[in-house]
Amino acid sequence: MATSIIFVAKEFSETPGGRFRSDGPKSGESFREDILYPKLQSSDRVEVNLDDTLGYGSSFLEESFGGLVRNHGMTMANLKERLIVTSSRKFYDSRIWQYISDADARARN
Amino acid sequence: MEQSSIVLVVSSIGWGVALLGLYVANRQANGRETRKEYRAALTTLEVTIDRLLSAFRAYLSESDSIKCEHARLMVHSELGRIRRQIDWLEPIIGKELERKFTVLYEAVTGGDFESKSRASKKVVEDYNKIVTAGENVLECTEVWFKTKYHKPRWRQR
Repeated sequence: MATSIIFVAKEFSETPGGRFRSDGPKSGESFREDILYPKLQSSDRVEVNLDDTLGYGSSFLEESFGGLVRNHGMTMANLKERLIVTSSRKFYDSRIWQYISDADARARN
Repeated sequence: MEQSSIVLVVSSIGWGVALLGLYVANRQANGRETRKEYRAALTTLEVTIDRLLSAFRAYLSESDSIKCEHARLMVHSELGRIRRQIDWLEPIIGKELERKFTVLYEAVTGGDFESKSRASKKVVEDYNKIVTAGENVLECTEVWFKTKYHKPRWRQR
C-alpha cells in the first residue's frame, strides 16, 4: 500500500460546508465517511490537499478530522503517522491538528 | 599643517556630514513609507472585517435559500481575505494576532454556521460573539501600531 492523495476541490467540492449530512451534500460527515476514512483504510498514508476551495468552516473541518477519532476509533498518534495535510493556507493545517488533538484528549477522558 | 591638508580635512568633514544627512533623511523617509504601509494594511483589515460582519448578517437574516447560499460564500470569501491579511501581519505584529483571528474564525464558522438546525434565538448571541472577536482582532493591531509609532518622546514627558 502506498500514499493516496485526496484533492478536496476536485474529488469533493470547491465549496464544502456543514457538519452533518443533514446540513447539506458537502458536509464534513460526508467527506469523512465517503472519501477520507475509506482512503485511510485502503492506504498506508493519505495526503489531503485543501487548496482551490473557497474556504472551510470549523464545523466541516472538526467533523471531517476530529470525527476520525470520535467515530472511527483512530488516535492522534496513528494519524500523525498516516495523515498528511497540505495547503497553501497553513492556518487550516494547524486547526485540523488542533481538532484531532482535542478529539483525542476527549476520547481518553 | 599645510593649507592644502587643511582644505582636504575640511572638505572631507563636509562630505561626511552631507552623507550622514542623506542617510538620516533616507532612513526617515523609509520609516514614514513603512508606517503608511502598515496603517493602510490595518485600515484594509478593518474594512474587510466590516464586510465579513455584513455578509454574516445577510447569512443570518436571509430567508431565500439562493441569497442565503450567496451570503454563506461571501462569509468564506471575506474570511479568506482576512486570513491572508493576518498571514502578512502576523510576523510583524506577533502570534497574538493569529490567536485573535482563530477566535474570530471559530466564532464565525463554528456553532450553528452551515447547520440546518440553526436556532433563531441564538442569532443575536452568535452575532455578538463575532462582533466582539472582530473588535479584538482590530484592537490587537491598533495596540501594536500605537506602541510602535506613538511612543511618548522625551520632550513630551
